[in-house]
Amino acid sequence: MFADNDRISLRQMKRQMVISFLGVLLLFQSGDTAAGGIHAILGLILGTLLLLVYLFLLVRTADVYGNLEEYLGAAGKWAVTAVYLSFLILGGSVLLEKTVRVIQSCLLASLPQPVIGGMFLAAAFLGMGQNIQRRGRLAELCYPWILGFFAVLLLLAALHIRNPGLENMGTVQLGRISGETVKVLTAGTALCLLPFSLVRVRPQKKNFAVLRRGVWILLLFTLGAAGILIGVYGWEGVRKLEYPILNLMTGTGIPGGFLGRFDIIWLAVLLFALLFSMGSLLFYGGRICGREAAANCRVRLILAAAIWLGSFLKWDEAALSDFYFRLLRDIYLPVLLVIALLTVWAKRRFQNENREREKKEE
Amino acid sequence: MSLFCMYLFLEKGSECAYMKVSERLQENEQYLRERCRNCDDIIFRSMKLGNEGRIGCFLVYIEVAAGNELMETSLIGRFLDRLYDMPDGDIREFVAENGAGLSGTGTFMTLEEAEASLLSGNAVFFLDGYDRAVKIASKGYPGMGVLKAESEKTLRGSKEGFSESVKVNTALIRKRVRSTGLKVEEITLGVRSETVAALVYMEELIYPELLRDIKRRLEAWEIDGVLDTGMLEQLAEEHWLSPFPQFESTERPDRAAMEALNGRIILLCDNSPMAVMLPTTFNSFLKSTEDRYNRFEMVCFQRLIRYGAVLATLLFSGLYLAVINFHTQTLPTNLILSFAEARKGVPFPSMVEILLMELAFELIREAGVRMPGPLGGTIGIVGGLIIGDAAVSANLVSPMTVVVVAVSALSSLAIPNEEFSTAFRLLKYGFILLGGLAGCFGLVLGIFLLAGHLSGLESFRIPYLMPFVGKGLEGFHDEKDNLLRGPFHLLKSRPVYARRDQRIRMKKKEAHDVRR
Repeated sequence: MFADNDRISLRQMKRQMVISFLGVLLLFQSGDTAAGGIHAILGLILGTLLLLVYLFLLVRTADVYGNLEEYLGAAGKWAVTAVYLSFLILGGSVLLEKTVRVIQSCLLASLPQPVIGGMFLAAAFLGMGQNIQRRGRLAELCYPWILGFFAVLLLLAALHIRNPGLENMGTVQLGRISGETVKVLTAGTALCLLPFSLVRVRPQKKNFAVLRRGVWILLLFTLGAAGILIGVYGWEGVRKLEYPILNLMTGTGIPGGFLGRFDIIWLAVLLFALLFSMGSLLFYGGRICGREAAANCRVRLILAAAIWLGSFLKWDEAALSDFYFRLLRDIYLPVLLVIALLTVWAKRRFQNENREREKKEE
Repeated sequence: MSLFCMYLFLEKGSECAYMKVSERLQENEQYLRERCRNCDDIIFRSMKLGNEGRIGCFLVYIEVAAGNELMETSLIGRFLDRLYDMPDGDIREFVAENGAGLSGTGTFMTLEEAEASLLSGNAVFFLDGYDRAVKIASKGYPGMGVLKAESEKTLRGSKEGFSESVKVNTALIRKRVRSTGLKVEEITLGVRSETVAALVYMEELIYPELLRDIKRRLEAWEIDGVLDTGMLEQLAEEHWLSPFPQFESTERPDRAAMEALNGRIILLCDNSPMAVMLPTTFNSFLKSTEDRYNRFEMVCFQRLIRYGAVLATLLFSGLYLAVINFHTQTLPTNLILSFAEARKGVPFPSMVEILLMELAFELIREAGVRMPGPLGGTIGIVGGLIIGDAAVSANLVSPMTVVVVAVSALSSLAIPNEEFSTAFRLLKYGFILLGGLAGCFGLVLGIFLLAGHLSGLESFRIPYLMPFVGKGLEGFHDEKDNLLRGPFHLLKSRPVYARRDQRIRMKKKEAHDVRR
């Protein structure tokens, strides 16, 4: 009837995408954008437009990602799988490390980081599961609540906007804008995971249009948060804060004074969104390895263990998160773009071969 | 040894192979007496019929089910009286053609069928020279009549509840849905109990694959005895590890009838006053029967109260612990000071306090259910007021703890379905541990796990969280009776359970039709 065939609707797909990115964007990207000033804001808009082109490519070649061996051969499949798995492990480790630091500083100082990290990963692993319909329904259920709470947070915070100090930002420079655009492209590389779910979407019409709406929603929230941060703290003030959104949450409450502080509520919603993001990484780990692996939780378990260990990794006192961005920008961004172009070429070749085969049969 | 005796010892598992009813009365009687050896409640009555007294027969029945008075005054008695006076040669033809016009009769070709009918509470009649056994329906086993619905009380609507007889229960539903489209399929379950279960449904409204699925699940088990629908529920459910029920139970015939008209299947079982409805969703457990009978404003308010009750049952105790142990800055200063003052002198940590009070409440609740009659209610009051007050006076717990536990407990009572509220009562302890040990972080983890679990749960291929999820899927529609209920004239659609081509249940008549 409604749950017969391991497929999700476009609505669920869009909601999954938005929730997976929203928490991460608000926690990390909004502060970076606010601190970068007008250059970062313009870079964000430009970067988003370029990401939409990338998304278009991914949507058009989704069936290649669903059948890598058929289109790229066994070697190609394993190469792509290795790239994606390493991407997931690195991204997951950095996300876990940063999230654990936030939890420890804001919510729970009494537990050690490995324990917090372990609990967080376990909840993401068990809560998300490996079934795409379950993930789709979870996203569909939580979407209005998460977006609603964040919207209320931003609206209430907007009441505290004062002089943003924009005059101190200096003149607009194209070079800096392009630098910020590359940052946004780098941050958006996680879109590369979408095709692995897109093959399970029904119906396969208007995929791009619906997902594009999701991207606009993310852009709206990130820009809105960045603008409010600049408005509330001033451009100079925002640059001094590590995670300005957390400071915003501490200072924003519902008028009436019935609670002393409201940041617990906002943090809870943010944490929920981050759990969804982490669960998504684990989910895609299973999907990338193929249908049987997706049904088997061993891959996700290994991935979870690797992510947990990776979150402690240090190289000369530098944590993974200190050089993660450089790895993404210098290695993964070009490699993923090459893979995207390769899939376009593979699809075209496959279609040509099919056409020729049909002609011969006729 | 006669062929008949050889047949007796042919085994198929523990059963004999199917035995045709013999024309020889003695063989039939010998078989049944052997089968009913040491069953002193089964009566064999041998008689000679016909005006010449040469036609042998016997009647076999369960003493209490048929009753000795039946022999004299009722159907069976009148039937036999006719046969006593009849010429010997006419008797077989008369019986074969049901010349007495008995209602509720039938004939059996095999002794196994005759035995099963006997054990169902009917009288079975054998006639010498006739190769069929005749079923004569009797009043059946003793049972409680139509009961009052005790666990699903409503202010408005019928007060009738199901009885313990499956025949009576199907009649109670049929009384409310007077259509031949309402089908009642009987199946026999339980190798030794041979319990009659009935699947009641509207044929044109259900998905046929749903009916096939439930039959397959029920017939997948070979079990000694089935004594209640609860056993069938547990055998047929898919996600048996989940604390959430995947069937919805009701003791109200009006509710069952309403859900049959919504496209659900109702499963009844003999000797059980509880019907089970399938498939089910999260939202359906928070609906009450009178939600359809009352005005929509009140129903919306009550539904919000019930959803709030679910959250309170689950989270209130854990949230209290999280706030006072980890996040005191969330509360206004006056409240923090008041909590601290109240907890002065209490020797236990707050988590132990909460757990002790929650368990004490569960004990009081259990005692209240087991105690007979008026004592049951009294225990609840005594336990709640006196013991709670004494515990506070003795400084064992703080007053705030009593308030928190009381709110949590009352909230669980506000959930209409008891099985459903049990799931939250159990999960509450998990949230108490998470909140007490990891504060808000722990609660969020718990909520994520619970939401993930509910998202993955299905009841006969219907997602448990429908209609809150699944909007983009083909065939989905909104019946406008979810978190809030729309005005009655807008409730034109059946819910997602019903077949897609049968979704409309109400429409306004044209003006010329009304005038006519």
